[in-house]
Amino acid sequence: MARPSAATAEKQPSVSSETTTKQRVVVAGLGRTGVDYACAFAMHPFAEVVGFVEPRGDLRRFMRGVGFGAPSDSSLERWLDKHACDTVVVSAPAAEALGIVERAVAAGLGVLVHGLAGMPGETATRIAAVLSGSEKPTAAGASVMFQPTFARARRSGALSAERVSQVRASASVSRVFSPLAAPSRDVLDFLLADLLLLLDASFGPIAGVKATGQKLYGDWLDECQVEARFANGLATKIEASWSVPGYPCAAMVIEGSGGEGRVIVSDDALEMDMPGLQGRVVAASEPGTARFEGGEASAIAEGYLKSLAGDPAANDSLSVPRATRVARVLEAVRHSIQADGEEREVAS
Amino acid sequence: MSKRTLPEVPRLLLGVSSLDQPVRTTRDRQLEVASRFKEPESLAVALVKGVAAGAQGVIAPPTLDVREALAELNKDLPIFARVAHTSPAEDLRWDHVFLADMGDVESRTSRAGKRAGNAALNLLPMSLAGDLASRVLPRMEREVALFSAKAVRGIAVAAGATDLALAANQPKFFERVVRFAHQRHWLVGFETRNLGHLLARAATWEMGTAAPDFVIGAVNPRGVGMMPNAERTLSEIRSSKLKVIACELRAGGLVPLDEGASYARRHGAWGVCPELVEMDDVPKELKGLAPAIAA
Repeated sequence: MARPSAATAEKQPSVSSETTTKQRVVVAGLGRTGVDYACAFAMHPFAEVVGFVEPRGDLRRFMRGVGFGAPSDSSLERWLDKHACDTVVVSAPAAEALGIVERAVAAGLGVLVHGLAGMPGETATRIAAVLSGSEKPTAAGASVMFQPTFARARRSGALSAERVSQVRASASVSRVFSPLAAPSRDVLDFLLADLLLLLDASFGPIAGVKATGQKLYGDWLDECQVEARFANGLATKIEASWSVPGYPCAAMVIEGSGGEGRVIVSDDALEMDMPGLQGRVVAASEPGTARFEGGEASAIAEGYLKSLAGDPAANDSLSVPRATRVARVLEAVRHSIQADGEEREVAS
Repeated sequence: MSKRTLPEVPRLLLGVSSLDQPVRTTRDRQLEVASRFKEPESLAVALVKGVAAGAQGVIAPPTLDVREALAELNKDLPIFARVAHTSPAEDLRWDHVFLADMGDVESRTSRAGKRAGNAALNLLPMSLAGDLASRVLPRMEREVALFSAKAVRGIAVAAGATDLALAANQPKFFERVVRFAHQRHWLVGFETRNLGHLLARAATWEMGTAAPDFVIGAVNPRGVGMMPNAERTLSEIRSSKLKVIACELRAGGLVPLDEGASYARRHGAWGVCPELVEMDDVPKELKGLAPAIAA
């Protein structure tokens, strides 16, 4: 799939997700997100969920019990021995995702990988390498890339290196107080990855980072502060915390300013004060991005089908190279935190 | 089932789910409202005044905050328990929230929680059966039992469960939940984030006497949250036999509450359910909806 530059893609008008044939989708990985994908594609008029792949029997039984009757198997290889599909949605844990991607690419299928940006850098890089050899559509799904105010900010050009020279960004959510918080996740992969995706989509790749982090409530990182240097010379300060009370949903804010004025964009609203770009847009007033609302997969599923129909903006929002770059930035952030804030280059 | 008749489906409900669930409003607004009702007494006052102002019931999640507020009152308010309640922090889990129903520490240790725990134990064999209703019903039973039995008028099934069954095209889930509720003489409504889809599918399901008493979904003049789109949703409301309780009346803050309520009623909604986050003066604004309700 051709991948136009962000600036070009975001300025294109949106394309319908309508295709002449239904996309036959297999969901590989039946955790919470996999179920979301199954619902989103099942409710889309131009897609059909034709199967499930999941090594855990209890999760396969759960899907059958819910009422999804499509055939399931413990591996993609076994499933493909008996059935056919067009696209594999990989919503499996990082440790399993690479093998599924390799099998799907070898079978000549389209691949949509969920959460690539939050995966370990080495795994993400290997997955990207496999995907780059595919002649079929490939995509990396993250719902934040379809958040309407940030998408509008990128589309308008307000949030771009051409318009701003100073950038600050923050992300906050309340999670660490939950009994569900566990050492298997931290603020970097849970929250910072999404903010980095937005920054990369707006200002390009990050080349180096200096980072500090705090473990306040357990053995995992709860807060971090990052000074990021973009490849184009722009510098930004980034903060992320999942220990902010009163935030049931992640709140992302990016503020930019420069000779042309200023822009503030958050999940709530976009405020612009620049020549030719004035005013305030609230999230509720932006057109919806999906036909079904439920979980984080709906907008991604719609975007994927739009990208298959040739929508360049959707295609750009699902960029595999960007998600892989962000995974490497996260790795550099971890190394910098371990080195007490010393600068670390982002591996290319 | 005994022949005791079910109560009439309310025209005006008050929703308090916005205190701990993500809603379509600005962050500042949600924080402001959560702060305003942080003390149980302040929430209790809002609820009792809301009912006095005409709300025929309160759609309430079984959270500690809500239960503490209700405990402040010396009389029962008519409650529609919003079950199966899930926390936004469920996104920390890998597994789906309905895969297992372990209960929570809070509900096992409180006095009401012991009753709830016993209720859930009675349904334990059902939860091992595997289908969605069997997994969710014990959770619902336990959560409803956290409220005063005399107060409960019905249940409002949370959108997370409704929309999962909708996507899987499972009328049996709806039928079983309706039978479960009606056996207990509760009204049953299904909250959905996909009202147009649900009404369209429900029209193809032959549910007979096991049809939901009402469904709750977004209806507002801006089409915000109306899935798959505003036009189709309005068309489905017009043709559906199901009673629709409209929520998200303010379209995320874009229109006044009375305008949203009038719009919903004009387009066929049976009733309306404004959320706390959509109001500054709960009794005054609920009273202000009377003309829209009566129209």
